[in-house]
Amino acid sequence: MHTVWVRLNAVVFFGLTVLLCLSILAALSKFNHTAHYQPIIKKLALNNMKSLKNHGGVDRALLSFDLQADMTPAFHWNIKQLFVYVIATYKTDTNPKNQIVLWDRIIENTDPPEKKQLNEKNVFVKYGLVDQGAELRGKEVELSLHWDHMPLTGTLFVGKQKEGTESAFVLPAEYL
Amino acid sequence: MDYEGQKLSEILFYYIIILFGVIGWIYGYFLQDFTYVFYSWGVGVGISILLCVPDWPIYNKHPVKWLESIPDRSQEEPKKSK
Repeated sequence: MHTVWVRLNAVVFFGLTVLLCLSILAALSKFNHTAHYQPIIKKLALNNMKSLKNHGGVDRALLSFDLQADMTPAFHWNIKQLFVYVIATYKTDTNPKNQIVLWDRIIENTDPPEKKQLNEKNVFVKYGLVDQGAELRGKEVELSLHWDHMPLTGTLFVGKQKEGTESAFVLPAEYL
Repeated sequence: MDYEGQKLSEILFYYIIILFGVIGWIYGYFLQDFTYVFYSWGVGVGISILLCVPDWPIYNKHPVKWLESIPDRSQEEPKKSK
């Protein structure tokens, strides 16, 4: 503490230590948030089946869906953004569990409130429903909403639509 | 900066940074916005740098009292040559 540089070093690094403690406290203050506040998913369902084709031995389905959800409850002061995505889950003879991301969106905490309300009508998938093989025909597909919480401090963790509230549909039995 | 001054400066920046940080945290918690914590903390660090880093006169009120200097040996009786 006897020279300017030693004092500057002491002040800056003590300051950073305090900031770290404040960040950890902020993370702890919202430790149990998801137990009480869950996004409200009003609707996530298939709207229109556009096509189901075979491309080089691999099945690909293209579709559009409706999504209505209020993501506001997931936000608090330690959340930087949410990565919201729609997953299609289905079973084939080869793979007992397939999960394909069809659509995603980033919602930031600084976004206006209306952006935290997902209100998508007949929105086309961003990524096709592509199977590992050619086993999509006639399969039952379940659509569910998932979201990654990206906090300011702390670990990333996933939230998902309540089990049993997902909507399902059956893919056409023939290519179209 | 003398020893008492160093002690004072260290205590000052401890309390200033913690005080601003805690006030900002509480304010930010009620408004649910962490940027308030960051700004308040930044103000605290800024004030600390201005107040505790330069060698202000307040930190030099207790100068170290050194012993009287011992007279220079060369001015004592000349060395005996062998």
